[in-house]
Amino acid sequence: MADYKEIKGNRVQYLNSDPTTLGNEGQVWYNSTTGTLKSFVAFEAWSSGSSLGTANYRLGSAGTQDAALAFGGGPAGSTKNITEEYNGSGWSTGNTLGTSRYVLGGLGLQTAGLAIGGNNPTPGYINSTEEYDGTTWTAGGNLGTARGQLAAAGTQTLGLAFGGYNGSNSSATEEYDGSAWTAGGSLGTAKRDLAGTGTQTAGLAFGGNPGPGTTNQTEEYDGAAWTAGGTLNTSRKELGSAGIQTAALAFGGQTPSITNVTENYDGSAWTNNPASLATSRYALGSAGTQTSALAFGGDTPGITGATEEYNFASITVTAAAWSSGGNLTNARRAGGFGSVGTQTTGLAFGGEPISGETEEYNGSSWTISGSLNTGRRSFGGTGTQTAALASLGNTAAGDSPTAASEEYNGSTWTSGNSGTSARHANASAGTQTSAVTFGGTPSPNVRTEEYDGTSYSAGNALNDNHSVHTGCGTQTAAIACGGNPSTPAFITTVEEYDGTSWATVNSMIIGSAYQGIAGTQTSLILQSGAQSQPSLFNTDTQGYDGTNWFTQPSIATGRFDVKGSGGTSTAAYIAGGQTSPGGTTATEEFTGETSAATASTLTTS
Amino acid sequence: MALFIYGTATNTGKGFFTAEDRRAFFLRGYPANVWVVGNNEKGALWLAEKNGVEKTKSEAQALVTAEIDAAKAAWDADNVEGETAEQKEIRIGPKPTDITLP
Repeated sequence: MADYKEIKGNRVQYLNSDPTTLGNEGQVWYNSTTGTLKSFVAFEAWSSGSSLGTANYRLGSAGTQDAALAFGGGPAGSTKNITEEYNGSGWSTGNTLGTSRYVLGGLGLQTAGLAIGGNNPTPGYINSTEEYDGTTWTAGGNLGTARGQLAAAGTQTLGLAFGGYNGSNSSATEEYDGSAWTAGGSLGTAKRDLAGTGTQTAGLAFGGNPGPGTTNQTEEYDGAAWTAGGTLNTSRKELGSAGIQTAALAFGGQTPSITNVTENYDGSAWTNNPASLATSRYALGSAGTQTSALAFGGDTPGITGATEEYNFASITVTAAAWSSGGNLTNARRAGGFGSVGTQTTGLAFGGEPISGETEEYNGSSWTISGSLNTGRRSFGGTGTQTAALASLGNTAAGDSPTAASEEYNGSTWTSGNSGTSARHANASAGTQTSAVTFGGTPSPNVRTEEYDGTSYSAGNALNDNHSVHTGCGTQTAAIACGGNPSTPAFITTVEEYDGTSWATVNSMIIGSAYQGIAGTQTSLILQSGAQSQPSLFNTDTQGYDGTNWFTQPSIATGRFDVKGSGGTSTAAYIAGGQTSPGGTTATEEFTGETSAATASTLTTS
Repeated sequence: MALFIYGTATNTGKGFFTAEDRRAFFLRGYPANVWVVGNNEKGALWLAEKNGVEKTKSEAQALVTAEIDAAKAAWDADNVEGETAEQKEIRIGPKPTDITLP
């Protein structure tokens, strides 16, 4: 029998630890520390992703795991026209459908999607379709048979719609050429709430409700006719789907109990997948392939926005999450607006009740350090644990803004030169020797000042009013996010500074003020603070990649007006804030999504 | 089966809840040290390990409501002569509003 060297041309590698980066599938090595033969072997797993911005079910879906599209949705009495886009990390808002609809069909890609039929109290069963180009929806051709609860497969120019319900179960199949629908071969069994995947000439229909109940039937389409395929092990309806006719994935659904079961199809038979959805759900959105799928939304019961990613790979994906950090020594809110330090070298200073109290964070606990000479709250805060800057702010319980600044050297604060105008509720970005502070009150709330380590000078104004907002970045690449007291909602407006002027860029998903922030102009995480008068103590967070805003995992304890925040978009902290009278001492730390090569031990049997 | 477990527990800081906990079960903190925990094995174990005191939903809601009512009263009483509503909001933040536990 040939040995490893004869097959591979070299001996098995002799390593004292497992590789940390993924090699080729099947790569073999000997771990001399553990005395075991190791290899990269693919395995199945669902991991959590960031939730939809709006909890949703009976929605349309399309795309891939890292470029998915969610559109429309229920419930029946409140059908949706919303669109959300997933980038592999979080969901961002897209433009709305022309027609609100739920139990619709969806196919294609995030940049070439198709919304098909569906239902709406008025006019009822829908025959219209809409095409998405990655930005806007425009009208497509009308279905021959108006219906909802249908399935779809294929692409925007080679589409397939099949099954559904319009007062009775439908077996109709229709093919789309990018402009018009024509009749195809009928399903063997009329059914609704079925799943579909594949292409126009190699489609797959599985599960559903043949009325009443559920079915485990699978049917395969060859471009002209449907024939029976292997049956699902778990009969179900309103399930998720991914893949192609010869490599499909079925997950979730209603049996009638709500299930998390995942099954794989190989073109002839379904087998149970050892990985199950963490959250059992039906009426979900789905996208992707048999080895890289996405499940989002659904009914659990209770409409959810939860997203899960499925991977069959040699890597372990660990979802991003917030965890508890060390508690502040004293509960306080309304510290500096800005990103200061890192997750393991944090700094929080000032705040309400009016104080100059400064605390340093080492990644596990806070220690009180030298106080600001002038206690203040709602000021611009930026810099590092050993070189921080406090700009302007409010120095009394009443409205008593100051133009004064102070610099921190890691142990004590010293007075710096004053800004050009006394105000507070401003935000800052940059370093102690090259900073920018912007917005704040009193009016005008658009003022910008640059600091060079010695003195402040006026910069060009923001385009819109911002106060009780936040920001981060550098003096030449800063960002200002939301804020501006208003009733009932705070603004979503975002502006970027290039060292000379401010430009309005894509808006946040959720309007907010009194936020925490960490990162840079092109990669940040924002703790969404207060969002509107009926919606305080929020747990929402949002990410920004320099172009688009997307959802991120929630913090555990909703709060606004934090005492301090900082770090990066993948290793952030927020500390303190307003949760109840007097504020909280709680700190939370964010760890971004990671993926790591996972080595398996080879054994004999 | 109920979706959530309700209880009170004191956040002791680092390690009180981990990223792994957050991935394993729903967790939300509310005023009055009230925590809403996903009703699965890991969620129940977490509350027990944190010396949490399990409450009914109505008991937990009452604790939160009392805390919020106190916060609202404090907000109403915190006034500065001549201050506008906007100035007050900037000074002490928006007025707390009711929280309904999930």
